[in-house]
Amino acid sequence: MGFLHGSLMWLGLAGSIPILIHLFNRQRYKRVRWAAMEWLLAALKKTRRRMQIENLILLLIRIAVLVLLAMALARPFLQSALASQIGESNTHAVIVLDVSYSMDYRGVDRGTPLEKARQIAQSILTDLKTTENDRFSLILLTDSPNAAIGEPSSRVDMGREIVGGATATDQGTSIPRTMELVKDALEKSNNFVKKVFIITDNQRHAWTVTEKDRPRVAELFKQVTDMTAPNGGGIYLYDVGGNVVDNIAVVGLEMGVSQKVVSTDNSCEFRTVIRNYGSMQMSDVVLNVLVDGAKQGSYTLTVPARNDLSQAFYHTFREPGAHAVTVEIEADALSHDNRRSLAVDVREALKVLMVNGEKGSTMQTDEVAALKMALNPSQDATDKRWVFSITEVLENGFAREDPRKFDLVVLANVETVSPEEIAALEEYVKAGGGVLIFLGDKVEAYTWNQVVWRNGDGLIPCELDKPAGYPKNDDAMKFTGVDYTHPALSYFQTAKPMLGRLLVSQYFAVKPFDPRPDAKVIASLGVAGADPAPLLLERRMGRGRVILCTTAPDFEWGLMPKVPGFLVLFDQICQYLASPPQRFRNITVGDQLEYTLKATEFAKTFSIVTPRQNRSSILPVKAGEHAYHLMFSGTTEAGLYGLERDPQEGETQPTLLTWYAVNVDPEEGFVEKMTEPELRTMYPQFRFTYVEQGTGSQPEKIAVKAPASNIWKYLVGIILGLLVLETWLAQVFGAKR
Amino acid sequence: MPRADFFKGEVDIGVGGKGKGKGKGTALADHSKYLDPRVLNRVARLNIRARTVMEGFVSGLHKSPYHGFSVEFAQHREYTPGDDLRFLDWKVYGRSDRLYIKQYEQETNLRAYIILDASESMDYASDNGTKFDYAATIAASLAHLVMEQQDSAGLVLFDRLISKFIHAQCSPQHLRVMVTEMEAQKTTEKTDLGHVLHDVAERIKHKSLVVLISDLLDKPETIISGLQHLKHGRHDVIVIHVLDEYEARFPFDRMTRFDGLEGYPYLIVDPKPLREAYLEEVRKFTNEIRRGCLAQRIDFVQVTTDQPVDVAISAYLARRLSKRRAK
Repeated sequence: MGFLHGSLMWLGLAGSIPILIHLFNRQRYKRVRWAAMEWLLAALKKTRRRMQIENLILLLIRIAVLVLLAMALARPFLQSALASQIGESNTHAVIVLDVSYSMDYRGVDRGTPLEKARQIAQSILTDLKTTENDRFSLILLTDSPNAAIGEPSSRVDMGREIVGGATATDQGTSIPRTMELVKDALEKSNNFVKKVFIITDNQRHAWTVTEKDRPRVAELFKQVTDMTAPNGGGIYLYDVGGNVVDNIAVVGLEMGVSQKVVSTDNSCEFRTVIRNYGSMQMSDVVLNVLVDGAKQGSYTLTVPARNDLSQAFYHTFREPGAHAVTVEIEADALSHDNRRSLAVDVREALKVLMVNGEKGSTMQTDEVAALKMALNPSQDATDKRWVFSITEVLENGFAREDPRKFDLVVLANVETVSPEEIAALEEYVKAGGGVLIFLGDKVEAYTWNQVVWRNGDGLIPCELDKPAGYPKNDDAMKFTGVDYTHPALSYFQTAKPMLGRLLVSQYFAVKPFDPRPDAKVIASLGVAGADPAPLLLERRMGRGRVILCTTAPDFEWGLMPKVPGFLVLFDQICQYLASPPQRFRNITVGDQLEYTLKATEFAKTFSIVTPRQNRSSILPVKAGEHAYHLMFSGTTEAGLYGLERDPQEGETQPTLLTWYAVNVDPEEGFVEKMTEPELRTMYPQFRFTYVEQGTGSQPEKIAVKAPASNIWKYLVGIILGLLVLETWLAQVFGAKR
Repeated sequence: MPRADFFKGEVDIGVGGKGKGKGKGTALADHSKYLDPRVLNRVARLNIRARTVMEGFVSGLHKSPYHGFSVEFAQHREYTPGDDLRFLDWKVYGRSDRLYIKQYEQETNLRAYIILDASESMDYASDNGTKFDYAATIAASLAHLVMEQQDSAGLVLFDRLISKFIHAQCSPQHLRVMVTEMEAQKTTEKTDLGHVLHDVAERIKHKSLVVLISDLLDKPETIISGLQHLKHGRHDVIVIHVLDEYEARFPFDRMTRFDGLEGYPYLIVDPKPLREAYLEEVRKFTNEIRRGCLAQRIDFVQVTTDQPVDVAISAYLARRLSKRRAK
């Protein structure tokens, strides 16, 4: 037996009231001196047993009345065949309604899959006999599934309202994740029969998981199958998807490969990818480009069937600050994936602080002269053709500079650094700053290991050993083991010879270390007769990055500055280090927005403006000793989210700090279905009844019996009978007395 | 019940019967809480109005209550050696030449012994004062009446044993002594009524009126045995069974803790369901005692403390008188 309102069973404690009254009355007695105890004891001896039995009968009846009353209020039901024998309908229906954006696919001759899914869900709710013991749960299926009604409920009106108001979200689909919620709902169920109704367009990718996750998901599906199998329950898969997969989507938008920093007055390359999921080539597809909401141009494209088309376009920003680039194609059957945005942080210049560890009078002897030339050939800070604005200090001047004023800090052949300087740098990197470190003959390895490496906790990823290589440049070494997937080196994917001409004769050997997610080698030097020596190593710390170059950027330890590759390599590395990570600004629906505040801004108030122009206030969250973050989790729709600082004193308008581009998962746009046999093959232990709704068949009904009496009614009858009996017995017993 | 202070001041009792001095009652009342002037007054007036009541009370004990102190011939008996020669009837000897002894009726005053229960159980009181106070009032009243007739009255106070035995005498001072003893009596001990009655039977040599006033909370067979012993001594025995009103009716209706007297433990019970069985026990006990008394020709009177003492006494006296007349 189970209870629909099990929490009300605590009222059964009221059954103790008669006992408490009895005990209470025993404590509240009148006290008298009594002489005729002999007669009293004789009377008691004669009547004790009868009195005890009579009192016990009355007490039990009174307790039973109260306990049964509590049970009746808790609405008991039988979890056995007896329940059906007495006519109870006792089914828990878990309705899983797919509200991913593919459910909004509008075919030529009929409505969307979601409209059909809503009808089916309403039909299931109509079939429920919640006046008896039928209950339901409602789960909205996306890749971030949501249990709209998680607890088994009888509130059909509420269920109808949710189903009726359900619209397609901008989210994707993940049936394995949703099944976790189904399992939770079934575990909460007390019903005799358990049924799961999955109403989906049955996209292939919604069922697909990695090979690694397959056993876990198969086990989950089996558990749900086992939970629903007994007593005539089961899983019903309503396939409401169509058979047409024609759809064109914008699946990518990013900056050009070599473009890591966008600066004012420089033409910036962007690249977008258009995908045709359908089996027919699509011609005359119009692609519009918008910057900050204003149309900048359009392209007419022909997209081959089942293929991607990459389209580049350029834009020159005149104003620094937060900008948003959007591309969109004209409406087709599925509109959610026709648009994609990119948040761009346009900089006037990237400020670089260079710490020169060996000042020299000529290009050959100065440690950073070649590097400065590479980053800004005109050597003019106001020349807008070059993005880098360089400030050079000597080693002893470093302590006076505040790293937070710069986008990048370069340490070149610096002999030693103090713990205070390193602490400031670490704080700077954690907040998103970039540091490029060159080693050289001046570097004091012991001090660096103690202060900067600190057994792996410091800025550099490995322990320094000693200078190595060849004194003469004739024996210079070449690059090897280059990670071309790394953003700083990806430019050379198509220009490997350029990198191959960079020669290094001496380097600083490092001690062997195990790569970690936050510390790895991205390029090495080929050493004759030995293992490659790490040349470029990256260390991620907080939101910032550090690249350690084990050689020097001058002519003493090699000939790198002699070739054009030097300029490109360190331009790319510096752009990479100095640019804020774009991935934090360009996310997928459902991801969290994050923003790191400057130390002076934590006391201000901020707001997020959603694509529908809804404004939400957000408060800074402390993330470190001097670090504050802003976070926002409500990215339920695709589009541009603006982070604004609320108007300060003297201001009338909020100040836009940055844009966040929240885009849909492009995979969801591929509406190809998983066939029933494929699904049964993929998960053999997942047993379900497949109901194809796209063909127009009628939805299967929940098998329920005609309404009959409920247990609570019987209980009320018993209670009334007991009350009559108690009254009669009390009179009979009282009359005897 | 009225207490000692109720008797303060000059109260004219006016006891009738033998027409003795009025001031006597007043003097007695000054010293007693048990001599209720109103009770005595009413009983006395009853006597005046119905003289036969008192007559009936003592009839059968006096050979001739109206003949005073004369010595009266009873019978002749043949002389046997050792007889007092003073009682030889010389006239008979002269006529018949045979020696006969003249036997005379020994004409004495009535001796009444009031045996008053002073055990702890008599200390019980509900709304009307203790049973002992009630019983003592009856005792004092009866003693007063007896003495008013120039008869003598004695008092036996007992609990487990006889605690005070006052021989029968007839004087105002004696009544005062009896009352004082009753007032001074402590009611703290258990009862052993059977043993006490045997003891009293042994101690009272002359035929007497023995009035037992008690709640009789003892085993019926031992009480009847003691009464038999008394009856065996040719005493006229009257048993006045004193019950408290609550003991007789058991009117309790909610949870009650009964603290037993005379060594009984306490008992917490709901008295309502017990009432019927309790009253049955009381009836059973009373009937057993009553049957025992009837078999011994002993008068049995049951009084409860809610009855006015005068009503109780006069009702009994009237009943006794009617019985005597019927004989």
